[in-house]
Amino acid sequence: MNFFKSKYFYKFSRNPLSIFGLIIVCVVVLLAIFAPYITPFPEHVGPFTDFANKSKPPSSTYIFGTDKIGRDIFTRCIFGYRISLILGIVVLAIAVPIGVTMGLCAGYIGRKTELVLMRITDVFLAIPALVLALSIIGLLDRPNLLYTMIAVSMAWWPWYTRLIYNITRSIKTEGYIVAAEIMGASKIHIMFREILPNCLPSLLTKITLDLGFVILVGSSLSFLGLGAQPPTPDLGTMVAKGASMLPDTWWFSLFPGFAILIVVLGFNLVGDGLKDMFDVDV
Amino acid sequence: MIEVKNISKKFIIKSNIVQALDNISLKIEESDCFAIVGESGSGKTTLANIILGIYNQDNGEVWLEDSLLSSNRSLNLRKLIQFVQQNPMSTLNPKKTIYNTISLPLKIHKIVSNDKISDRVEKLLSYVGLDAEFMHRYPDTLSGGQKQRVAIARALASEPKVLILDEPTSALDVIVQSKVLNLLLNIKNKFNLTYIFITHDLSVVKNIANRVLVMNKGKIDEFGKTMEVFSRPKSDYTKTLIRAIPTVTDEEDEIKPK
Repeated sequence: MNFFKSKYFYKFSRNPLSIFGLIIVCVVVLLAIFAPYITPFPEHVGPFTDFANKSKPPSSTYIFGTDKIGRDIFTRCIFGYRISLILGIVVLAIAVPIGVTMGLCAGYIGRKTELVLMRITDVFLAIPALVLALSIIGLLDRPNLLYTMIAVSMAWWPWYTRLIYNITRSIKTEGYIVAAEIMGASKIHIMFREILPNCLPSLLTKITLDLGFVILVGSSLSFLGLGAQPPTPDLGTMVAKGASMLPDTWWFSLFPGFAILIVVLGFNLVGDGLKDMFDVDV
Repeated sequence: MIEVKNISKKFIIKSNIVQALDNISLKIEESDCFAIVGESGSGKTTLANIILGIYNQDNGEVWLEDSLLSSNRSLNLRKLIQFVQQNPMSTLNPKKTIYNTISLPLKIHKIVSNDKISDRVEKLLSYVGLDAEFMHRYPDTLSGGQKQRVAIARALASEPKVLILDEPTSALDVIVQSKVLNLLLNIKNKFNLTYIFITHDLSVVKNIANRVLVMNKGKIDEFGKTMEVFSRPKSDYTKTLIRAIPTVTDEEDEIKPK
């Protein structure tokens, strides 16, 4: 079936904002993948200094200007997208399987399993994600990108448990689940092959919406100095370093901040489009 | 074939104890078309669910030939009793093709080798009067009657001896209902199946069942050959049920447009 002619794509494309979001996401992903080939100064990503060109305002050579040690901010923003996207993908790659498995087990097996898993989930849900991530990083050795990813993942999985648990509870008494049980299908088969496919529309929508939020939380942690460490180009760190120089050298933090805004907006618009397309509530 | 001995089952609903089954004993012979009738809440579905192994009984035993059945029965016993449900809309997984739906029991019970699954699915579909092209379709492209046929094909896939049919035609329109009933009777004869037919439609029972069990409030009200129960009902409850079959009186026949 041609997806672009399907009713799903029709529903998605009916909202111009969703298409706008999709374009943003595609452009950001392509920029991140091909960053070394399309950025004017890829060498500015590493330990590089050029004091002759320090703190230059936006110009035709440096379209976003340069920072206080002469590195091109445009180049570093594009490479910053790489870090942000990797953070978002790794965090969700850890959080989603944990959350989904726990949600399926709690919802389908029920009884004591449900009680134990959902109370653990409630404890994690009671603490705001950023605060929880901050405390987890605090417990770990010293701040770096890997620890940020682990901390954000630990704060994120309970939302997926809650989502999948609710869907599983609502469909576990459906006829096809009962039929599979009578046939003798294993619990693993029923959870992952019968129930999970029915959760995918909600799951995909939530993942898309969350990519933006995870990037935002990751950037917030970097802003506090708990994310990727210099000289790695991280958008949150760049905003933090530039914030102290406002308003004189406004381009230090404005463009990285704008870059965060764009990517979060893009994922949110696509997520909203998917929500309408699948007609789900996440 | 199936022997139910002194089965009882209670449910606790909002701290009230509901006696769903009260000391039920019965024997279903091979090749019977055994109907269980009764109003909603009489315990007929609970009894079927215990025979299927969905619930555990509080007391009593269920035997299939020489094997004692419990809710965690072996795969070999599980495949011998299969189920066709009431609601065709929820009986098939909307995210799975018909092929995947019907091939599941074939894979679980290793009925045929992997390379012969496709041929087997095609054959099962032909038994229920559907073309091979249905294999690659999803349930949302099927009508209610077609879905129920697929559900029957799935139930037949594990080569069962007993088929429990829980009001399989009540959600279908009258024409489709009679087609599905005919199909069920043909399949029964072809595979020498034993049917346990749960329904509250007594006119269907009269036409297809050879023995009938009337249930009321979790107890057996009457039990015997269909024609005997219908022609000489003993209990008041059965008489009331039989009177409830819609019939056209002479007076109504007269006012009917000719």
